[in-house]
Amino acid sequence: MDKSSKRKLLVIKNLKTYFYTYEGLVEALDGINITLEKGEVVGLVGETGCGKSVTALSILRLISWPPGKIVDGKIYFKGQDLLKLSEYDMQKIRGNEIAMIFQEPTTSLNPVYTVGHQIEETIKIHNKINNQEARKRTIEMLEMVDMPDPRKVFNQYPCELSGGMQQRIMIAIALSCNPDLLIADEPTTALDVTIQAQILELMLGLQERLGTAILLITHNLGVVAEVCDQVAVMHAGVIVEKGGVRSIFKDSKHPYTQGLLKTIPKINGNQDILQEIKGEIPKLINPPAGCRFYPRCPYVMDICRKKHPDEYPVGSSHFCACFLYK
Amino acid sequence: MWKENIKPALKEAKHSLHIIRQSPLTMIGIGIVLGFILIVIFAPSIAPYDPYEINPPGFLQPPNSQHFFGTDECGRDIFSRVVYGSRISLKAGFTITIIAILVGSTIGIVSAYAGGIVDDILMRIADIFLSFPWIVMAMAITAVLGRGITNAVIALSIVWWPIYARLIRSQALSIREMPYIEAIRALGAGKLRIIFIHVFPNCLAPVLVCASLDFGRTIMWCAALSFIGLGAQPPIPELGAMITIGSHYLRESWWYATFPGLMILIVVLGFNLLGDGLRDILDPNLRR
Amino acid sequence: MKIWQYILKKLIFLIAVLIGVTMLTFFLSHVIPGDPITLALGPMATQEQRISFHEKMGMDKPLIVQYGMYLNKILHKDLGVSIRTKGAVLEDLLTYFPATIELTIGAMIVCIFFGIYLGIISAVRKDQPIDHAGRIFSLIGVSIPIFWLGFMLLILFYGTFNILPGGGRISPFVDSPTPITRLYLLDSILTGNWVAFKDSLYHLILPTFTLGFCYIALISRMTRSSMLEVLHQNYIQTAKTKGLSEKAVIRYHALRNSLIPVVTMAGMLFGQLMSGTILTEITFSWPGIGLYAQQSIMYLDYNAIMGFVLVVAFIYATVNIATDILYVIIDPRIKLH
Repeated sequence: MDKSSKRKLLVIKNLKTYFYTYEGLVEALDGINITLEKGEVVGLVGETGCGKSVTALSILRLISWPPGKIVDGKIYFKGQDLLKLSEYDMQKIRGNEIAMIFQEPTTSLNPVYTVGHQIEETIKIHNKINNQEARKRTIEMLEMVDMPDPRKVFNQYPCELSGGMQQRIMIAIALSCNPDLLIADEPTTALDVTIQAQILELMLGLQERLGTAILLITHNLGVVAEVCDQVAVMHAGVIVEKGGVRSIFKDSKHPYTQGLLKTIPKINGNQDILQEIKGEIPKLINPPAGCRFYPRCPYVMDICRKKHPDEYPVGSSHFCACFLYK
Repeated sequence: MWKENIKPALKEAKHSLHIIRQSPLTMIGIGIVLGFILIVIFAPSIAPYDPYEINPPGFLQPPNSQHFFGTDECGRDIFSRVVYGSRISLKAGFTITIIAILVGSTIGIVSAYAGGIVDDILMRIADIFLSFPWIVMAMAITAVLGRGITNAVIALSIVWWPIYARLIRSQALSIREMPYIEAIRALGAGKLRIIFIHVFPNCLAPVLVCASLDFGRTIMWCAALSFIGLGAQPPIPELGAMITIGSHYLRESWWYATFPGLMILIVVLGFNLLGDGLRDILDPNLRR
Repeated sequence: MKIWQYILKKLIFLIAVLIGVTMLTFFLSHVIPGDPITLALGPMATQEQRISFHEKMGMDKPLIVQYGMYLNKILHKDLGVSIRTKGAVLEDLLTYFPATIELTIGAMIVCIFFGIYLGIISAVRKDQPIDHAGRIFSLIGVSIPIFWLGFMLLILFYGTFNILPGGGRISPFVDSPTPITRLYLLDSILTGNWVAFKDSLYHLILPTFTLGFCYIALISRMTRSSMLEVLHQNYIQTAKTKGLSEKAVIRYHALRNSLIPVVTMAGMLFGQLMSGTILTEITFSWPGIGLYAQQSIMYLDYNAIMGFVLVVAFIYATVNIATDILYVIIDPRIKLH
C-alpha cells in the first residue's frame, strides 16, 4: 500500500459483489472504488436498487451466502484488508470500530429487550467492564443523543418510543464503542421531515465531537448538500462520479449526475414539467456489456455500448466514469 | 372459443406439474397414495386368501412363501387381512373426511355470513371440540353409541367437522373483503351466487391441502380407536384391531402386529407427503 | 390493566369449555342405551329399591333441574361410583392420575427439548442436508401409529435385547417409593431410594420416548417456521452489526422471539399429547387414567367414563391457563397493548 493510502481510514478498491440467484447471476456491485479519510462525511447517492446498501453490507462482510458473495476487490480499513480477516476478527471490528445504523429503526430494534439493554449489550461485547460501568456508559450515551430522561428511557421497550427516539437509540448503540467509521444507511428516510432535521443535526454534532467518519447512504440530494464533504454517485452497481460536494453540485460532469440534479424541482424557478431521467435502472442479471448507463444516456457514443469506462479525473479530487472525459 | 378460456388454466396446471416434479418427496407421496388406492380397488385380485377363512392347524406361522406376512392365531393369512383391512380403513377415512368437509364447510360459511352472535356461538363450540383431546371425546361418544366401526366413524366425524368449519370460515371472511367480490356485487350478482360461485371455490385450496392430510390422519385415528377396542370388532380385519390382538403374541410372533402397523405408517406417510406437496403448489407465495 | 383483561377473557373461555363438557357428559349419560336404574343397581334390585333410587336421583324432575343437580354434584367432587371397582370414581382417578402426569411431563420434556433443537437447526441450516433429514424425521413421527411404535420398540428393546422392561411402571419385585408426590421418580429421589429410582427410570424410558417422538414434529415445525421468520427480521441484522457471533445472535436475539409462538403451541401440544398418552398407557400397561378409562369402557362403566372426561377437561383447562400466563410473561408487547 502506498504512503498516501495509509492516512486514509477506508479504501475500497474494485469491490465486486455478486448474487447467485434462481433467475441468474446478479452483478450487484461491479468494481466500486471509494475512499474515506478520518472524520470525513462521505455521501453515497443513487436511486433505489443501485447497490448502496449492498456496498454498506459488503464493508461489514454481512452479505449472506447463499445467495450473495464478495467475489473480488479489497477493502482496506486502517491499512488492513477486511476481506482477508477471519470471521472472529471481523466480529471484533463490527460495532466497535465500524458501526452501522439502518433505515427503519422500529424493526431494527429487538422488541423483547429494553433499549437500555440493547445499548449495554454492544458495550459489553467489546469491553471487559462490569455491569455498573456498562450501565453508566449507557446512560452517558443516552444523554449524548439528547434523550429526555435517560434513566426512564433505559428501562423502556422500543415499542414505547417514537420513530425519532428509536433512531436516536440506534445512534447510541452505534456510537457506544466510539467507532472510527459509522455507516448510515438511509437513516432519516423513514422519519418525519421535522425529525429528519433533528437527527441529522445530532449526527453531525456527534461526528464533530467524536471525530467519527460517516458514510452516509441516501437518495436525498438535499441531505447530501447539507451534510457531506465528499459525494459518490452510484448507478446500477457502479460509481459514476465522485468528488467534493461543491464540485459535484456546481460542476457535475456525468450525464447521470446532471440528470439527478435536474430532477430536483426548484422552488423559485419557472418549471411546468418535472424533469426525469429517461428509462429505468437496468436489470443487473447478465447486464449489458459496456457502460451501464448507456440506454438512458443522452450523449451515448458507440464506444459506450462496448466497453466499461474507467474513472477519469475531471478536476481536483473529482472523478467521472464516462467516455466523454477520457 | 372455450379453448381460449382454458388456456390460462392449462398453463397453471403445467406449472403445478413442474413444481411437483421438482419435489421428489411429493412424487413419492403421490406414488404411495396411488399404489394404496390400487391395492384397495383390486383387493380381491391381490389377496391370495379369503381374509376370514380360518385354518386352525396353520396358526401363527412366520412369513413364508405361501403367507407373505405369516398367519394369525386362527390360521388366517395376514397379508390378505392387511389388504382387506386397508379397504376398510380407506372407506372409513374417506367417509369421515367427506362428512367433516360437508358439515364443516356448511357451518363455516353460515357462520361467516351470519356473523354476530350466531358466529360467536358456532365458533366457540368449534373451538371446544378442536382444542380438547380428540380421543377422549371419541371414547365417550363410542362408549355411548356402542362399539363397531360405523359408530367409530360417526364419533370421529363429530370430532372432525370443527377443523373445516374454522378453515372455511376464516377463508370466507378474508375473501369476502377482497376487491373482486365487491366488484361482482357492484355488477349486480346476488348473495347466493356470490357465495357459491365466487367465494366458496376460492376457499378450496386450504381445504384440499387439509383434506389430503386428513385422509391419512383419519385412517390412523380410526385404527387407534379400534386398537382401544372401540372400533371394528373381531373378526373384521381392521388394521388397528389386528395390532391389538397381535400385541398379545408380541414376543413369539412379531409379524402379527408388525405388518398392519407398517401399512398404516406407509399410507399415512404417503398422504402427508401428498398434502405437503399440495400445500407447496397451492400457496401462491411459494409458487414462484 | 390490560394483562388482567387478557387473562380474564381466557379464563371465561375455559370455564365455558368446562361447562360445555359437563353438558356433553350429562347429555351422553342420558342417551346411554339400557335402563339406567338397572345399570346402577343391578338386575336383582327390588321394586322399592328402584323407586327410592328413582326419587333420590331426581329422575322425574325436568332435565334442567337434573343438570343442575349434576353440576352441583360435580362441584362437590362427587363423580359417582364405579361399577367395576366399586369405589368413588374421583378417588379412582386420583389414584391413577400421578402415573399419567409423570408420563405426560416426561414426554413433553422430550418433545419440547428435541423439537426446539431440531427446529432451530433446520431453520439455521435451511435447505441443507440436515434440514431435509430433520423434516423427514418429523414427518415419520406424525405418520407413525403411536401404539405400533410402542410395540415395535418393545419387540426390539424388551424382546430381542432385553435391556428395557416390558411395561408397567415398576418391577413387581421392587417396592414403590414412599408416596409423597406419587411421582415415582421424584419420590425416590426425595427418599433417597436409588433402587426404586433406577427401576422406575428404566420403566419410563420407552413410553416417554414413544410418546414424545410422535409429537416432536409439532414443535419442530413450528420452531422452524417461527425461527425462519425471525431470522429475516431487521433486528437480527442489527445484532450482527454489533459484532455478535452467529451463535450469540441466535441465542440472545433470535431464540426468545421465535419461541413466543412455540409457547402458545405448548398449550395445544398438551391437548394433543393427552390423546397420545392414553394410547401409550394402553400399549405399555402404564397404570394411568387412560388405562383406567379403557378398562371402564370395556366394562361399560359409564360413571367412570364420564368422570374421566370431566377430569381430562379440568386438567386441560388448567394447563391452558398456565401457558397463557407464561406467554404474557415472555412477550412484553402483550403487556403494553
